[in-house]
Amino acid sequence: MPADAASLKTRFPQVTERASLDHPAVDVAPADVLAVLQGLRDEFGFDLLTDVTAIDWAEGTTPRFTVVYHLYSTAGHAYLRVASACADTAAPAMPSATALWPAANWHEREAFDMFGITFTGHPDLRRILMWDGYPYHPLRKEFPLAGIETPLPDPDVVAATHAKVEAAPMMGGPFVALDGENNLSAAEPRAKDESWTEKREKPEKKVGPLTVPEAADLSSPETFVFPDALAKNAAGEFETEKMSLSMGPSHPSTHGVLRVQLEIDGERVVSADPVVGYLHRGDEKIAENMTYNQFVPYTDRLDYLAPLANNMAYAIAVEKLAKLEVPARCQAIRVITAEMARISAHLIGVGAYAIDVGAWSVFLYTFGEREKLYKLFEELTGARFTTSYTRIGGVARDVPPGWIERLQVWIKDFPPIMEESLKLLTRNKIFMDRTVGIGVISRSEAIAYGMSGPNARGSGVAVDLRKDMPYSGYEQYEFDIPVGAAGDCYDRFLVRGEEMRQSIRILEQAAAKFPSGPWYATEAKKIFGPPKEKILTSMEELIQNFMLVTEGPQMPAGEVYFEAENPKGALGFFIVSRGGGVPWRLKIRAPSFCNLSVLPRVCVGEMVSDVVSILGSLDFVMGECDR
Amino acid sequence: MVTANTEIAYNSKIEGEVVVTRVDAAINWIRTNSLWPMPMGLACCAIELMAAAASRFDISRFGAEVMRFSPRQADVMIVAGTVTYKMATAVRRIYDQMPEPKWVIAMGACASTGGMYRSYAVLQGVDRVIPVDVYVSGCPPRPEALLDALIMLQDKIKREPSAKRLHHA
Repeated sequence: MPADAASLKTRFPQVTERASLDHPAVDVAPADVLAVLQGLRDEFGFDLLTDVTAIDWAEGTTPRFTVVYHLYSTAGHAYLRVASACADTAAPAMPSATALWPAANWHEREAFDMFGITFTGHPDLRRILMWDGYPYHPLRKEFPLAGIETPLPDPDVVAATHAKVEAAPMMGGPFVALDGENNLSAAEPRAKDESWTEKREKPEKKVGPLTVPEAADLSSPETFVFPDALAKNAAGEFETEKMSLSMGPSHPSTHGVLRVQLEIDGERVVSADPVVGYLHRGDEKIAENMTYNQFVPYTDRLDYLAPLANNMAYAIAVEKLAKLEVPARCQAIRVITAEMARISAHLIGVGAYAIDVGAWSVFLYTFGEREKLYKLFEELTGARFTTSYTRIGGVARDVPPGWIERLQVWIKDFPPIMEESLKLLTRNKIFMDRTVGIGVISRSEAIAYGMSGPNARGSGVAVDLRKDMPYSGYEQYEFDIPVGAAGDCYDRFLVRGEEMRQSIRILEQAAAKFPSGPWYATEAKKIFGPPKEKILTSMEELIQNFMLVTEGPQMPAGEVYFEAENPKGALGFFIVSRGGGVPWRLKIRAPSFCNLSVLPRVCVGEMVSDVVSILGSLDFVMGECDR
Repeated sequence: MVTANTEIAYNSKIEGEVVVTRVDAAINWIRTNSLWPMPMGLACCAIELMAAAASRFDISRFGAEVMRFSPRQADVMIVAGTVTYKMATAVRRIYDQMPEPKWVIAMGACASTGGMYRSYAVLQGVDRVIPVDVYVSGCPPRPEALLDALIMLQDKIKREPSAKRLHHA
């Protein structure tokens, strides 16, 4: 069924059309939101809830908070924006969509954490990025970017260091401290700290007297039987004791600062609760306080394994807002850099995964290749991996002479090395034992949890935004979308390997027909800065550059949402502009965040050591997950 | 005077097989060349830390390739990445669990000062919770810069009065 706002209105009389610069958008009252979402999911084919977020329209406005849902149709390849304004400004509330999509769970927790919106009916409405007991909601407009002074959550550390949350040194903030509310030691489950240092004494182990159970005649082997534990347990005489195990936030296999709170029964995982937010740096709040161009370096540090791909996704999102088309050469440069970024991200994903499951040498192979890519990146952008290469309306500089040829040499040299590194794992008995049949995510689950990228494709969801909704000229290139059949860890690994091969194909084509012409949108004088030599010689360009630097690129008011197929999945930027050079709200839809939300489902029933394998196969980046 | 204790004095039979040195120098020499890092990989800098450990830069040339995720077995904590307030308490706990002697390298702008993340969630420099020996600039620093920091730390360790500290401990 087509999903323009008019046909939606005939089916749902309660919706009104919402102004939008790109996808169809509707407004719904909070009371009708669940019915409309369910209808859209079941009748219009919008099966993937890609993002839930909120907008704060500042203190004093009514309605103050608007919750925004972004839906995607995996079959129809279309997005839809559903917005609903919270009625109450003081205690905003919205019905929870967790019953429709489990994906909503984490998104709604985030909106609760950042805006203080209560999602009624949410099974587990806790903070997710900030710690439990943090007294503020940072993305509310009255909250200063610098933060407000509060005590740190860990009393032991506070006693040792006298550290506290302090306003970052750029602007003031009222001195507010709430005692007693934020005690992390008490609030979050953790193992009792029995560590000892020079200053703290080793705790005495209390060993009770040994008790020997009375047995039958031990001297005669005929009459002696071991107590039958299983038979006893069937009678309900005792139950196994569950143990809670905190994995992370510093753990070699959690790929950064993820913590998984496991409850285990013997070696089996009974429940897994990922605790994220240890790398929450406030990117979205930072974005609201700077111009569009200034935010480019922050996009590098989202998925820091593939900064060039993030740069591109962000630039295209803002260009959609500005209704700006970049020239073919610029598009080709972006495709080349994004595919190189994909290969470099998958190289580290595969290499680190190999380390996780016990093979060291693959990492050395893949990182060696990554170094060669770094060299190319450095020639192009000036940096090894925090590249900040794109600009709104173009790229920072044109491709240097001879670079495409050097890239072509690398494209020829790379596949044999890649095949050799992958061959170390693909039919490796130990590797297969650790991955085949482990961490199975079914196709429907992958969609329900809003997964994307290689993880979704590993589960057989043939979604690839480069094919489904081509951007930056991807429609010109021939490539295939690999999908898995079983949806286990091994499939996700195979998909990554195959994606590297496909990326090489795209690179070959892009390098072969690399277009000439301008490398930035030359007509967009209010968005893309003039060339440096002109700034130094011409008054008009000097003024233009001055305006661009001080005011930022001028954008129209409106809302856009753009997702790009990044190495980790669909990286989305939802930009709410009220005109001017600074976004009113910039929401980053992080694929790692959505992919990780499946963890509580997928770990249950697996062994503890398989959790390592599952984490590695999901290949997430915390910089992007926590933002 | 001839005593039974000839081994301490000059003995032509073992000439060339005995090195006379100060205890400080011997201890520091051992410590300097077997710094086991605790890779506190928090964010982007961790990737450059991995690069420093991988084939091209090969941190094992400086005796520091034994990355130990258990703080009990580590000598130098390399804080690589943005320290948020939520993570700061964990960083401090891990530091507390490292045995003496221990050193800290703050790798990159974020770990040194908060860097480009001047926001409500980020600790403005890891030196607010743990003492830092070497700061490395860069966002992220190149692996060479990290190796340079390691060499600087080695120089610092070489000058430490280790024997005196052992005596007082």
